[in-house]
Amino acid sequence: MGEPEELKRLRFDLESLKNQVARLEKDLEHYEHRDAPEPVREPEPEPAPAPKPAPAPAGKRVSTEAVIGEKVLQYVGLFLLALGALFFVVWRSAHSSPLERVLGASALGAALLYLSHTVRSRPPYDKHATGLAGGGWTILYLTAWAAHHVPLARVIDSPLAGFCLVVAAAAAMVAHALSLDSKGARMWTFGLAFFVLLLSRSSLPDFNILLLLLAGAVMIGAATGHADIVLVSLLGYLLNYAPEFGTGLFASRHALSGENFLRAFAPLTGAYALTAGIPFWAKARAALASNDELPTLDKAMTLATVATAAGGCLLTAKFFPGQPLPTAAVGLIVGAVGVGHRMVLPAAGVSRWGAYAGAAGTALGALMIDSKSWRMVAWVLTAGFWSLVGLKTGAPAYRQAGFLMGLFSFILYASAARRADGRAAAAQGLMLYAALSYLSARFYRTWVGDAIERWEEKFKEGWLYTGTAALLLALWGLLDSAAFALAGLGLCVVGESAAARFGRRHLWLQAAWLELFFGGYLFLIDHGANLPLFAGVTPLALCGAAYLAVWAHFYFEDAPDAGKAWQRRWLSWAALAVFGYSVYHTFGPRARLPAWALSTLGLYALGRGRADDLLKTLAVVLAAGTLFEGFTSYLYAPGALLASPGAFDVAVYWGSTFALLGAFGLAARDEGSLIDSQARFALAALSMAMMTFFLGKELESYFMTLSWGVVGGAYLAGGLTLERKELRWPALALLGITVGKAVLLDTAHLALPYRVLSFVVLGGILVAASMLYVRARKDED
Amino acid sequence: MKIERGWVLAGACALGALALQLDTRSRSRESLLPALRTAQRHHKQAKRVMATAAPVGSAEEAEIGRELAARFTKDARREPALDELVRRLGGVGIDAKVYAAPMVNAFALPGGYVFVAEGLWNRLKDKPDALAWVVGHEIGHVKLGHCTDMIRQDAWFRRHGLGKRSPFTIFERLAALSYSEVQELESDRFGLERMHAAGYRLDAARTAYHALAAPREADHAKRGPGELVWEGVRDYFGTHPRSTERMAALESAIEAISR
Repeated sequence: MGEPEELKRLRFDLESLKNQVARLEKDLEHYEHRDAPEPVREPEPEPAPAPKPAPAPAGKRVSTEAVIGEKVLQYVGLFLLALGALFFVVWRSAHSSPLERVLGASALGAALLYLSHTVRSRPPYDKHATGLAGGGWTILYLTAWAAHHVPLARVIDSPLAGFCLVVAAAAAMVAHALSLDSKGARMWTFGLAFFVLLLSRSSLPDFNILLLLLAGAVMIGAATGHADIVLVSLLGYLLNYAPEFGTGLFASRHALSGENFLRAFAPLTGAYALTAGIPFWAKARAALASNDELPTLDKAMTLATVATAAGGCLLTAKFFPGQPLPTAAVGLIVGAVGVGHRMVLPAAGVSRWGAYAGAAGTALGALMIDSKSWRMVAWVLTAGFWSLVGLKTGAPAYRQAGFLMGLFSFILYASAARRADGRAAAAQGLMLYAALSYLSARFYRTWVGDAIERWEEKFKEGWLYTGTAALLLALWGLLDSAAFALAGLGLCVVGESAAARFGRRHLWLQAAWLELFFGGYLFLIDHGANLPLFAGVTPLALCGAAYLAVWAHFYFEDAPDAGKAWQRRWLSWAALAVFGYSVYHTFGPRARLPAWALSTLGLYALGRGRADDLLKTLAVVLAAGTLFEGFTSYLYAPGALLASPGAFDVAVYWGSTFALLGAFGLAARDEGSLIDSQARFALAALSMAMMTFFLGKELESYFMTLSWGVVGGAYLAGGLTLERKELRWPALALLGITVGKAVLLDTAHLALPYRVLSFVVLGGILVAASMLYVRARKDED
Repeated sequence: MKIERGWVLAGACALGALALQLDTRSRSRESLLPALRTAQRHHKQAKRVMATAAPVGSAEEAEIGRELAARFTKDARREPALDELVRRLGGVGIDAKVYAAPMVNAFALPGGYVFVAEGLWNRLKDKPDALAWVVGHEIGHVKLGHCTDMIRQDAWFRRHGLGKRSPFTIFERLAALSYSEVQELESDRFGLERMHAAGYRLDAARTAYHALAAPREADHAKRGPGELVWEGVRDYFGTHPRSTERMAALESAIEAISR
């Protein structure tokens, strides 16, 4: 379009806009007058008439007449023409020879080509030139194809001649499309060429001819700098490949021989080499990897990669059933080429698909292994291999593929471990995976550093945690539950030592979770573990002791900083729970009380020596637990199930009771914090309760009452003498319970002499206690 | 050369794990049962504390027991061998009879009534040691107060003049006469203690256990795979003393008492 015409059009648009503005202003006035409560106005003079608008452009103010004249008539006419042409073809088809049909179609195609050539230099019709050329070539090409393949138009009997004619037509069509410099034309003609070959596959002397054609297309693409040629040609080639080998092979038309495998595999890898090899060919890379062409080239390479991996793996699986190496080799090749792509064309996304397809191929190969143990080993080796490739080359997709495969190994394990015989084998595989994961975690920091993708920010410690999870699961699969608990404790020690050595936050976190996990796990060791191993020691007791040793190791290892203090605190509470639980299940109702009582004493002494409030708090809580346990499990235990106490039992029991009193004596020297006061109270109350429980359980009812009275009185006397409220309060509570029991229960079934005796002794104790109390208070005053 | 304490500890743990793994006696598995049993024991003892506050008199228990036992006594007979067994087991106040029913089971009622079903009697009458454990187990339910615990509510109604208007029919009371898992384990142990005191062979308890478990195992074989899977899951998290737990407890008690 020349400049004067352009100016003319712009003026015309400007006038139109002015007219529209004027109309809008008028409408606006109209609405304002209608909405506002207007006073009566004098009628205003009519506005000056606007300049006469120029004729509206098409599509804006088009009259019905113009629509009918310019559009409807045209469309109806074209439709009628098409109908006429169709009827003519139908009529002629019955009255014409194949040669006439071919000539007629060729003439039509040539006419369209001529028309295209004519309108190309006549704007505005030049826009239709490419479309007309495409139509013309389509007719000509299809005619060339039909000349041999369609019986109604068969004028050539020789398949080779027919094929040559098709190729010649395709070459001419492609040459013309290239000369037009139109992407649409290029894609249409190349696509059509390969599509029609799909229809004439039976006349192909050898499928590899198509490979040659694809090579030609790639070279043309490289020479002209058009990646779309490569993409569409590859697509057409693969469409030809799929029915030729895919359906044919899987319909078992071909024998499973090495020769047939190569017949199918070679064209696939050939196409892959031609397409995916472009980046390694400097000239082609320069031509096709520019900013404009790279996305299209990327698509082509990705298509080739995925198709080769999928097709190759299917072929190997079909031709070499039960043999994993060929399938894995396909995956390895594709993955390796992906690495090359990453190095040569870092901006292309094909490398990512190379990683996924390669990993999938090798994974498929691993799954083809019959042996459960070797399958698991191969799987985790593959996962570790791709992870290391991703770490070494800095390619995130390989890291992602390896990591994902690693996660799937847990599913594989779950599947293999459903049967007891497969569990140990699968566990070995997980052991290997754990080792590889730890290596990956190490290399992640040394090789990759901060050069990570966004998704990796959350998963960058994934290898550490999945490695440990794999190790745990493997140990669980290999070991019985008690052995697993003990091995896990060893793992805790190693984990924490590693954390202390390397000082990484996640190592600390992991160690803490492991310690808490195994603390909790001890509660799940089943009844079978309660069978004694030696000298009454059960697996649960052994594991509990080991847990305590681990706790002690950590607790006394060093002075924890603020960051580790919470860990030590929670670990200590877990250790206390484990200890209490282990003792509970190891000893009977009578024996567990001294064990807990002596431990209370030990904890308090330790806390006192180290001036550690946490240890003192643990001692107080253990004392409270001992009191509760004594009340529920010992005092109310069925006497029939308690063996008669031997001298050793009695000695231990009372020894622990008096030891608690001794500890109270020590605690009485500390007049410090609140926890010291609580500890004194706990020790005093526990020692008295221990005596009470023993006397209550092992003596008959009324002797029990009397003995309780004596103990309560003694404690009260001691409390008054030593001026210790920690002794007085428990004593008063016990005396209250004793009186209540005597009045409500004992005397109801007691013979009269014993009833008198009971009341006299109890009353005497209470009176004496009262006198002591009054005297003590008087002294204090 | 100084060896770090941590490595020594880790090594000891590893060696211990190896020893535990190689020692077939220490076979164990993961289960919620031990932890749940601990809670259940304490819950039971807490109820026993309530029993102290609201005791059931022996006359009350006998009356309720008599009512419940009346349903079975008409089809029951006394067996001299059974009486002798009860006497040797120290079952003072226990009224034991053989109940004419084909089931392989025995049960105890409040007031000291023990019934051995005909099916079980026929299986074990020639094996007095094994029968002693079964009867000792049932005596345990009586002596350990399990029966009393079950009728505490009923006794409360009677004590307050609501005996005839008790919402619990005899059928409902009998249906409720099932003991908790913890009580069953306790009675197992009680039976062993009494067997030991009376001079019976403790290992005969295994025979009796298998005689009791055989019908259940036969029933187990008839179940479909879905039921078995569900049972497996329930067993893992469950509270019922499954055969594994009960047998392990029995073995443990036999070993402890034998010492």
